[in-house]
This record gives sequence, C-alpha cells and structure tokens, in this order.
Amino acid sequence: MNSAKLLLKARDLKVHFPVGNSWLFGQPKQLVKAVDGIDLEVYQGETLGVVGESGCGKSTLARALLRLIEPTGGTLQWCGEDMLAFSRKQLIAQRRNFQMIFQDPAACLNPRMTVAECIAEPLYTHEAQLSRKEIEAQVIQMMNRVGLSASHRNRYPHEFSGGQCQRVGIARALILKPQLIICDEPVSALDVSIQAQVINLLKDVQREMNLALVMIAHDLSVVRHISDRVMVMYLGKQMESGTYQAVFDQATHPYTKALLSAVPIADPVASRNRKVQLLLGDLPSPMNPPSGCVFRTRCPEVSEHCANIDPQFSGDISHQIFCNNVQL
Amino acid sequence: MSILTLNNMNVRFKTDDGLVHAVSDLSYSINAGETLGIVGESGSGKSQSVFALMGLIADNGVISGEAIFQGQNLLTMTNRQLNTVRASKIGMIFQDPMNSLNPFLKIGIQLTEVLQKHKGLSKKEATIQSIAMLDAVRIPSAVQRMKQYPHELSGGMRQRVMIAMTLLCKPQLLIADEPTTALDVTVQAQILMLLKELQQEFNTAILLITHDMGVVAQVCDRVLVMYGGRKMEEANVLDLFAQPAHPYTQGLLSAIPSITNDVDKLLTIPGNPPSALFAPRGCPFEPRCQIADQSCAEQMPTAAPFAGNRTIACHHNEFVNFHPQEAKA
Repeated sequence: MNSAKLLLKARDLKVHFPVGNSWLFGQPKQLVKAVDGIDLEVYQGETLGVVGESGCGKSTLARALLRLIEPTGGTLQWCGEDMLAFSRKQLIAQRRNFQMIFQDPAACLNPRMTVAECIAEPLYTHEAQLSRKEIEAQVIQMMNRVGLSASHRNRYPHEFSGGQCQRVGIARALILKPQLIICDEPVSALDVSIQAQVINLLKDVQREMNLALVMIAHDLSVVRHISDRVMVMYLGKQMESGTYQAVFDQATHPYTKALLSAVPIADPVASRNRKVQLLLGDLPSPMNPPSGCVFRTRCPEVSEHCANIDPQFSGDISHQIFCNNVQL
Repeated sequence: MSILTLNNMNVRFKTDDGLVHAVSDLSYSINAGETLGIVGESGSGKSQSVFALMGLIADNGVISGEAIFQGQNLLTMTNRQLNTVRASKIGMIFQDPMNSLNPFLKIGIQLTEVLQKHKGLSKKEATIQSIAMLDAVRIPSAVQRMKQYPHELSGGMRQRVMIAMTLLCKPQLLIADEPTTALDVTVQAQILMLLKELQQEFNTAILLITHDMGVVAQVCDRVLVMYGGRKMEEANVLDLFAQPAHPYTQGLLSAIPSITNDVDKLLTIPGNPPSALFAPRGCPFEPRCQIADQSCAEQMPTAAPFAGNRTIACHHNEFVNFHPQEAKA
C-alpha cells in the first residue's frame, strides 16, 4: 500500500459554516461544524470508503477535498503540494487530475446539452488545442468504454434512464484521465440491478487506469464491496478507520458496531439469529454537538468522563479508533 | 385466516402516450398477523398495486379485478364506503413522513382527529388514547410532543407519529409503503423492530412494500417479487432466499453486495427495466433473461404453483442456478 504514490493528504481538515448572522455587520451567532478535524490519505489506485448517516458531514468532506467548498481550517496536500495555497488559476489547471461523480445523475447533466457535449465539456476547458475530430473520437471511445452506445451521442439526458445518466457522469469524469475521482453516493439513486452494473464499471475502470477513488456512501455493503480502506464518520468526526477487513470484520468502536448491526442483511436465517445493537434516539443537531465525544448521547458503552474529555486515539494506519472506553 | 384476497387485479393509466400497464393480473392473499413483503424495482407497480386498494389512484387510472376484504370488494366501493374502511380497518404508512403530516397542525390535533372522526370519541378521551399510543411507539415525553409541529421532530420521530396515527384505530391490516427508505440505518432498525413488536401486540397483518431485500429478509414471513407490473415469484421468506426459483429473483439477489462476504465481481442483470407503456406480449423479463427462448417472447407464463407452497411465473420452472457466485480474488 505505502509503495503507491500518495495523492491526497488532509490533516485536521475543518469546514465550519457560520449560521444566524445578524442582518447588519454582526458576527455569526453559531458555527455548524460539518467537518471537524478529519485526517486522511488517498494513495494511487486504491479506494477509500467514507460511511456515515445523513448529516455526518461526508458530502461536505467530499467537496472540501476538491476545494469546491473552502476548508476553514487544517491542511490539504495534493501530491505533496499545499493545495490550499493554489491560486484560482492553478486550482482550475489542477482540477483535471481530480474529478467528481455526483449522486443524482439526471440533475448533474445540463438538460440543454447532448450527452456528447456533456462528456466533451472538460476537454474544451482543459485541452483547448484539440480539434473537433479528435474530441469526437475521444468521446466515442469513452462512451464505448462506459457501456453506452456511441450512436446515442446526440441524444439529450432526459432520453436516458438513471443508470445510463450515471454512466454519462462517469464518462465525463474519466475523459481527462484523472488520478482521483470522488464519488458522492454514486449508486444510491439507482435500482439494485443497475447499481451492480455501475459498481462493476467503476471497479473495472479503476483497475485499467490505476485510479484512486474516494467513495462516499451510506450503504455499508456497497462500501465494503468496493473499498480497500474505510473511514466511519459521525457528526463531522472520525470514529474508526482502517482496512475494510479491520473495520467490517473486527469493528471495535461502539458506533461502528451499532451501525453494522443495524444494516439489514439479505439472509433471513442470519438476520433473525443475530443480536441487533439498537441505538437509542436520533442524531444530535450539528449546531449544538455534545461535549467531549460527540457520540456519547447514543453510545451503549458511555461512561461519565466521555462528556469531559475528547476521545482518545489508539491503533495504527491499518486500524485506528477514537474512543475513551475501548482501545485497540 | 385470510383477511385480504386479491384476484387478477389490473391497474391501467390512460395517458397521452398510450395505455400504461402499471399492474397486470396480480393475485395474492394475506393472513391475519402475517407480514407479506412486496419487492420490486422502481416502476414494477408495487406502490400502485396498494394505492389501488385504498382508492388513491390518479383520475386517469382504470382498475379491474377484485380485492376482497372482509367479504367486500374494495375496488368497486364508493369513496363514502371506502371511508368506513380506510384508517379504521386498513391503515397506511407512506414513504416520506414529512409530506404525510400536515405542517400547519400540531401533532396532537392530527392524532386526536382520527379517533374523533372514526371512533366518535370526545376530545378528552382521544387525547388520552393518543398520548398512550405515542408512548407505545416509544416517543419520549409524549405529552409535550402533542403540542409540537411536525417540523420540530426528526425524520424517525415523524415516522413514529405516522405509525402511531395509523395504529390508533387498531386496523386489521397495515400497509407500509417503503416506511424506512427515507431513514438512516440505525433509525430504520428502530422502526422495523417497533413494527414487529406492535404487530405481535395487536395481531395486525402487515403488507410491506420495499425495494430492500435486507429489510424483507429481516421482517417478512412471505415475499412476493414483482417485475414489470406482474408477480414473478411468491414464496416463504426462508425458501426464497435459500433457493430463489425465478431467474429475476436470482438475479436480484446476486446483485446485492454482501456486508459479510467478499465477492470479486457482482453479478448483474444486463439491460434496463421495461417501460410500462409498451406491454410485451410475453414475459416482461424476457429481454433481460439469460434463459429466455421463443416461447417467453410470445406468451406470458401464468403464475403456477411450484415446489410445494410457492408460485412462480416462468416457462422454465425448474431449479437451475443461473448465477454462480465467484470468490474475491
């Protein structure tokens, strides 16, 4: 793993949104800490899965990693360079190396453009010297690669099904041959049989192009299937991370254990025999997170000191957790 | 004892583009205290099949067939007759709890209204029963919650209010249309467990509509698999998962990534789901099926009993495993 090239490195990354500004030169009354001190690395050719429930900040993290939302704290390095110091021009030039795939495949394609134009658009920006013929050849090759018929290239997005639109989104992200793609819930809007097609496609192109993927998803079985390493988030903080075997088969953090036991498994015998660790209550408001460990209000293993001290780090790169009561 | 029996129900919609065949030739029955799951992908007709029962079909819908509930055919009832059945005998929970609660009214008003209207209770009695029901669905500090508006509650809490509202009249049948799809997994687990407990307490039959095979495996007794508006397979939940018989069911189950096992490549069903606009002459799954032949394209197989207590609609009705799984490299 460590022999591969380090592409993206974040240290103590923070995204805090001010809310409740008074209407005239007031200070923001409160901060929503959507992402609060995340450390991560992404190496060439690997998949990092990020899981968590809605509101845990995983989509904000995805956008902050590409500076689509400006991080408010911490450091971010792209191939060893300080990404937060990039000028706007540098950032745009570098964006060809890191692309994104979005959740709603229909909403992220311009309805007034044909799919060929959607796929070719990054080339107009980044490879302006290409002739029309060369662009068309690249688009046709890419459409064939993602399993779309090139004869459909002059159709509009509304003529395609959800799965096909997601293939267009993937083609558009791949056409510049990036090194990293961030996928924000790429399959959650798709039916099961179509979802499997798209997951297989992502895995295949990853192998071919030695791509790094950051896979943001709430579906834990999808994340397990596609990821090499996994990070579990809760209310903007990292709870547990490590290789997919460590996180899924030897889950140690109380939140990961509860999350895994809540996932319905498609096997009636196993699902009726297992013990479900039910979490009580709902996610607290990120505007007013609990003190100390943010998970303590729902934690089955909570103790008194959890409210006062921040969770302790234990473990190493292959498996690490943040918890006061459980150590690796 | 069967409490609801559907015989050859069809739901069609007249649109400018032609006749949409949403549900075709659907038959099943559900017993008291039983959970029947209806699974299928989007557009398979699973939701329209229950909307038809409750008289919730759009104006351009045409329904035929019969649905016998306590000796009466629900499909021929007038709205006035349906109002004596809806809520009091058959309850329904919808997918999005925010859109099914009135945002302008306090929770308490929406709950007590049901009892006042259907059971003729006084406001005071209705309030007492409503608070008891909120307690039963594990809503903390129920008395205070009665005075709150829907936006003050979280998604899971709103779905609990919906469940409480549906159970107030103690219906014999509860129809749940994707009740947990909009919720997070930890909250989903709470709601599913709650539904199971309440079912045992009130002996309610549950008709659960979902696209999630995991949810089916966890809570259903029997499963009905729909595709292209038709029933493809119906079986006991243990049999269905242990040995799916219909090629579509097999494909569907093998396309789900596992949370416990490593699989290198997911098996997929090639192609896309059919359009309901052009009803095929033969089996709707034929264009995507690996074992389809001429007869499948020409004639729709009838749902027939198969291997004991199941039903499948397939010309090739023998156990063949079409999708052997490969191990992760």
